[in-house]
Amino acid sequence: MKLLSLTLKSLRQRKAGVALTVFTVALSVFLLLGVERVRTDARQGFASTVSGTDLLVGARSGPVTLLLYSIFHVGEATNNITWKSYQAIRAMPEVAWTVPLSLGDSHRGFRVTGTTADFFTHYHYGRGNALAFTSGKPFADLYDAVIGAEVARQLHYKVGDRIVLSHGLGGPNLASHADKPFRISGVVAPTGTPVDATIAVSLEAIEAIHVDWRSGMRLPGLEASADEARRMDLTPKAITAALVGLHSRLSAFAVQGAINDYDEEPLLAVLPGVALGELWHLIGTAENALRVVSGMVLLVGMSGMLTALLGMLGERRREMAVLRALGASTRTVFSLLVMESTLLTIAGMLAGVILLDATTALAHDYLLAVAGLVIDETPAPGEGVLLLVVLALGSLAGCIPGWVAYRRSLADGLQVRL
Amino acid sequence: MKALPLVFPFLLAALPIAAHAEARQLGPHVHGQASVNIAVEASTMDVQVSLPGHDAVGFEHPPGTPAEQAAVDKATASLNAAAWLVPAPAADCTLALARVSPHGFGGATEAGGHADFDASYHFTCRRMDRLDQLDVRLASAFPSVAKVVVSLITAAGSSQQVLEGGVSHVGVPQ
Repeated sequence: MKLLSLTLKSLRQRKAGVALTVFTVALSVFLLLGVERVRTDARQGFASTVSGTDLLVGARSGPVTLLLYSIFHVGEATNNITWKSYQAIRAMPEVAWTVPLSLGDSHRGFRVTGTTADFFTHYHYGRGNALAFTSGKPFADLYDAVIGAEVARQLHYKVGDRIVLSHGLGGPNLASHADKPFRISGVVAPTGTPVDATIAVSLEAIEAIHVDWRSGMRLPGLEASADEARRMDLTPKAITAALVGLHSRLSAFAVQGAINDYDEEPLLAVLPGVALGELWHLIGTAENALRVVSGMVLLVGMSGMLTALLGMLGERRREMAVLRALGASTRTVFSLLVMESTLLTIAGMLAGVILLDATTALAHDYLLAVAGLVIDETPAPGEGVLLLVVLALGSLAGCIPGWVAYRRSLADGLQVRL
Repeated sequence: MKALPLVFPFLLAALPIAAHAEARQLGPHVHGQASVNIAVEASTMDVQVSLPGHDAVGFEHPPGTPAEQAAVDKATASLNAAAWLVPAPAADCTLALARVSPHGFGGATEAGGHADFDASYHFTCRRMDRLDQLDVRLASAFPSVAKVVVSLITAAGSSQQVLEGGVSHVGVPQ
């Protein structure tokens, strides 16, 4: 107890140095835990890009290919699935709901997804979060479009604006669908999923803008105006993929098997969580890189503290010598310095955690809107262990100046120097 | 939608096949690898297993000798007992139904020439909230199984765990 009060009194004498040391430790703890939290949340957010959907159905390819193309809008296009097969899946007694997805067109680099209004009720992400609208509402008219948060932010669009979709992936040489402009009916709130960078229109709209197209180009003489297209049969002929929800999870494997063995068309049904897990497994090296960075950050922080402690020790030779002259044993001097570094580490840890909590609380919305990162305010599971490691390293770091002082405290401070 | 025109030739080509109603599709069959599908809802846990005949009995043809017949019977009985699957004891699960069906060991060989053991189980668990792990000991029951792919569907979503090298523990996300 005496030792503790002595340490505190000694620390009080060196406020500036102590504050800087605590700040160094706090920063490294902040970075260490911050990286850990981002790592866990990035993984968690990724794994729940699609939640609440029991099966993802597309043409037969591979789980990762299908997931990449239909949900993340990257990678190779899979085949389409015919409307007839989609209707057959829809009619299965175990199936509660289906949401079709039709890809192929774009608008200024953002993918356009043809779907139904059910998408906004059934597409869930994270822990079962439904899509919310920052402004406007789902599409109601044939030429209505709903844009994601990222699209709205980058292109400065708002509800009521008119946009023109490009055929295919766009580019200067590809024709646009300028004859059938769309009106933005709603903006979806940021989700941190690919929905943010998507423009959603109805399946019928996809059909309508291609109604006078054959073999990939507009047919001269067959042009149908936007209003004429409204009166035509706009039943889709094919879709890219479908999200399927079931009445009971117990039938998931049976329905998956039935779709995979569907005789009329080669189809593939995957469990979204399994495909996401497989994909994360492929890109999981990034996670290890983040771990390595965390470790380095911790080492730098600890070296910083050690440097400060050793530096201060030079100034405190007299203090140590006086303590020894007053009867303190070398062991006491050693414990004094270890206690000091432990106290500094604890103070730094507390400051770091407070700093991190404050930052995540303040930057939560900003990170979601700008980086699409959902940072949870609750601590990641590994944080407790990391803090213990920091504490152990901090105490261990105190042993080095402790040992130096132990060796030289008396002789060093009382020697007369010329 | 740009791939739409590409679909039509395939559709036309598919029509005559559909008329004959002859399906020519084969599922995967990997020797040494068993797949286990587990779905959990309310107090019910449904389990499906597919085990290559090669790993269950060491051959994939109709049993010709009494020894081969005995091997098929033994594998069927072993799967039927479901001792290879141990749900967390705290969940208090009881096996309500087990059905084992060997495929391809009959008179006619199946397309692809492979044979499997398929089994499905129906468990009822009183404390499903305590089902946090399962022990899948398929690799110790059938030593030639090197890899067990376990797919899980629970309220927390779907996931997959691959058991290799003597590992039998499967964590159940709550």
